[in-house]
Amino acid sequence: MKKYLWFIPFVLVPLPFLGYPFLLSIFVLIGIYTIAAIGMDVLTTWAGQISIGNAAFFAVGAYTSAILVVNFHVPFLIAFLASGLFAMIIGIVVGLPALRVSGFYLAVVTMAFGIAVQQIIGVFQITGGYNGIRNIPVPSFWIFKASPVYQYYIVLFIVFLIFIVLSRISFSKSGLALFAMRDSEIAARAFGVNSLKYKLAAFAASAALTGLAGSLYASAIGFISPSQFDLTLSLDLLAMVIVGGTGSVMGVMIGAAFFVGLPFLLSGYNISITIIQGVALIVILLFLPKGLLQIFKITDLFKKKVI
Amino acid sequence: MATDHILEVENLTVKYGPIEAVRGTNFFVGNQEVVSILGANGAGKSSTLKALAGLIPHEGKITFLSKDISRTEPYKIPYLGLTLCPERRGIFPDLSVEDNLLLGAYAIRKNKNLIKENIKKVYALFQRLGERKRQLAGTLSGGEQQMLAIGRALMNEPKLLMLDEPSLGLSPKLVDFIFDSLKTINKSGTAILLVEQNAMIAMEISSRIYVMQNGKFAISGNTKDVDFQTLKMKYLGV
Repeated sequence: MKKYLWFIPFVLVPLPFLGYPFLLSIFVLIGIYTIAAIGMDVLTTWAGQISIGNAAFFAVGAYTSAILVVNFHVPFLIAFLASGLFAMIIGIVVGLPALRVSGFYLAVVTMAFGIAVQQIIGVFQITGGYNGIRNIPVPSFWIFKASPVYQYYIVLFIVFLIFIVLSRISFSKSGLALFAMRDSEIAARAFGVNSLKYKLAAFAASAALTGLAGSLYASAIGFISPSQFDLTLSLDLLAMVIVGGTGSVMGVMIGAAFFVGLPFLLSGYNISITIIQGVALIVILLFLPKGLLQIFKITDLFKKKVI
Repeated sequence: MATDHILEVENLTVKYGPIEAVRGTNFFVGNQEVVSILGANGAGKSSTLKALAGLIPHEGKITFLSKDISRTEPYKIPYLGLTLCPERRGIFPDLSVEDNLLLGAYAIRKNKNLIKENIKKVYALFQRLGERKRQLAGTLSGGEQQMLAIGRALMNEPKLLMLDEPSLGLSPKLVDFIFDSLKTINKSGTAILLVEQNAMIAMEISSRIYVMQNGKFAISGNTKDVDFQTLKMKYLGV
């Protein structure tokens, strides 16, 4: 139970900001990017693989959801689940050939995939071509009206669900097999781990989580076009994991807050966000190589190592 | 085929592109026997073991417990009772000692009682591991890592344990300890196929040896019939 307690502060976060819907919608975005970055974390930290094409899964999720809701008037919940499922299927189809290579080669293959998807989306009619899809309705159910507060709690709840599922997996035999494969693939295979199956599962899970995030993004922003899902987004997702702290939902959340929140904080001033972000990135990686999460574990530095 | 042979290999060939690392070797391991494959660097010893574990493409016929496993997928092989303890130990550095052992039992993961029993056995054999079971494996000393690698390989109760250079990078005292443990493991009924550069210590515990040179066996026979001095001068390059 103790490991769930850190979620409580996040339940209270929106309360002081109830009168500031703009701030709340930024919190919502942070939550959405957290989900996508968790997808990246599963692939990189858990399975030891890399992808710089995850923006494609984000796009697949966003477009699936938007098309289902706008063109076919499907209820959002179903569109949401469908977008995760569809992104997962694409993940498996791409992962099967792509995961035969690793390291830099996998990075290049996934990058090519990311760029290809962006171009393909721009070609089709149903996706609105390069103009994209506009006026994607914000979902509302029952007593919950389409307000940022309610969106915030929905997103928080989804992050919480993902956290529960992931922590269960990490303590299971499958989690163990996955981590073993990451540490030493030869040894893991020598003990009976079907490494391609686990790599593919990690890739599929990563794609599904990113797709779900894409679906939420489409309905939160209300407008999507191919240019939003470029290489920068893929790299940002990867950087969020590294900047925040790998292997923990909390760390990933901090990384997402850094990448989504900082531009908004600085938008009032007449300075280049890219420069500030770049400098901050270098400083963080120099002094907190395990990510921003290290700040919260600063007390560890004063403790004696137990081992 | 003699039924007391747990492993029978016919015409095993391993190629890395145009290079033939193993060129049509024939050998066998008897029930509860310790057999060593000796040889200098690059003679094809490790390739032989990797091929047996199915980890690299190979040709030839491999029969384990009267079953042809030449085409079996690598991840299915440990389920049959053939376990490789890989070269340079291949431990999982970011997992705890106990998690390393649990992964070793991946092939018997359904049988929780057996896993518990086997962990106890491993800790009895290597007490150091028991003392450090919560420690990350990457922080263990070289000797402890080797103990862990062997202990992990014992977790799924192999009928034949294949070890790739267990003496690598260890002090002479630790090498003695590791090889004493191998004797104990063998006495409890596990056959061992050992690949070693340290011929002297390997010959101490083996009943038969094969000496490999350029992918073929130059000498094979009972350990007591092989003259150690000639072996050293002619084939091991020491």
